[in-house]
Amino acid sequence: MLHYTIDQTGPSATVYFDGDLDIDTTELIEIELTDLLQKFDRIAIEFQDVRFVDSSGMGLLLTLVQSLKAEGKGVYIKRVREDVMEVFELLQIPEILGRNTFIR
Amino acid sequence: MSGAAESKDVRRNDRTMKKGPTASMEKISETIVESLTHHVAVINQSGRIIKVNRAWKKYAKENGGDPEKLSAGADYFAVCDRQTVASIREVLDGTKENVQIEYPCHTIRDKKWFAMNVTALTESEDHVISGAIITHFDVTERKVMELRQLKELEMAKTIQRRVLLDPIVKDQIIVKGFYLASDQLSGDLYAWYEIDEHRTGIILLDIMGHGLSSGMISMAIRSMLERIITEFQEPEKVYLELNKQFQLFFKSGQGYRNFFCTGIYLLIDTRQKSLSYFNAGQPGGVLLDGQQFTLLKSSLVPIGLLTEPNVQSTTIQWAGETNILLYTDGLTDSLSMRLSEGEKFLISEMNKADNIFSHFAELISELERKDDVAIVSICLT
Repeated sequence: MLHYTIDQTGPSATVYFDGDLDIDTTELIEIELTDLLQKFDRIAIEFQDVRFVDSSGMGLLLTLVQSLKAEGKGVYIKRVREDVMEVFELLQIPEILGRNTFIR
Repeated sequence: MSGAAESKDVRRNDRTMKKGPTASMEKISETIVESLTHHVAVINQSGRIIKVNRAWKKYAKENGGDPEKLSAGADYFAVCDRQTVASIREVLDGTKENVQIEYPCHTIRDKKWFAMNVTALTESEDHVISGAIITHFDVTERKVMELRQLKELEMAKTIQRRVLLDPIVKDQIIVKGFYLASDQLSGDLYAWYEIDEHRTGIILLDIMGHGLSSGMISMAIRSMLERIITEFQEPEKVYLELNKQFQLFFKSGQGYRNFFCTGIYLLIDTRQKSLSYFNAGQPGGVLLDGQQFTLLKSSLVPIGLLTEPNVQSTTIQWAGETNILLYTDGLTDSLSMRLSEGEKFLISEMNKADNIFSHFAELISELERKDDVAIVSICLT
């Protein structure tokens, strides 16, 4: 189960994720969040409370970030836990999204 | 006098005013319970039936139930099995607010399934549980559908097992695989093909997700593997062809823009005592040459994610008797270990094992699996 909250300051938004990113979050990410974030120019996704990401969740995250970037938005993923970052590195996610997408 | 009489009349009117809506509410409640298509009974704390509705009586009559045992005043516990009584008592003593039990209730003519729902009967003011409301409802339609789906999945599982390849057992190379699905179907798959007398291509793939969808994709990929491995052989070419096939699969699909699979492929040459490989997002690869460990680390993007990936393979030589273990991340997940912890654990287990295949097959069988798990063991001499 994944919950999120959004803090917005003008054209910038910080999305705080809390929970697991997996197949159960499909609608939340693909429909709800993708639409909600369209109005911002700069988006930071806080990952410190994401404890587990499976392959389906990884696919959803890639789609979310890539579709927002394709709209010309600045997207950053912040404070990824060490064990989750191990999985990101294994799947070369920083290479796919760009290393500068990740902020410690 | 007249004042007192007036006051008495007012009191009487007051009572009438209160009794009116209360009585009317009771009547409505009674009508609702009677009209429900669910079979409803109310029992007290000792399990004695206080009330049953029309549907309850009708079902008992139609299905040969003894009306005396199922009507108001009867002991409901006397017609229930011990487990059901225990579940109802959990509601009556407040351990649980509600329990639901499904049970078959077949008649001579047809098969039926019911669900029994037990809810505490609580006085609104003091929250004391005075009894329980028991409802039975027909879940046959859903149950039949579930059983049908289960049968279909069992059949699909059997098909998936039938396409597994026999182990390779030769003087210089032994290859064996083992997998267990977390659901009915697995998204993990492995295959090996002898390209010529000395060369063997071995692949282990983990399709994104698990269950039905990844099982379907794995079967589609499985059908192409022999052609891809025997025709393209070299790791870079095998990767590119698999990537192309994935891109073709999901090119026009909506909602699956980033559908991918991780994989490791080894081209082993027993004459040259060399192996070249790619690892695209798989946790392991561990090679044990005598006492020397080498990790076959991931260096490529998972298959299907990029249209023009940059692909490189690695080649290593072995000297003496060598064991290789390939595994999917379901193994470390089920061990509840981080990838790096899992690596260390598996290396120590490999060190202990006389026969790595049987050692790890046993280890996996004992795990409480969270995901599909597959291993491939390779022994080279």
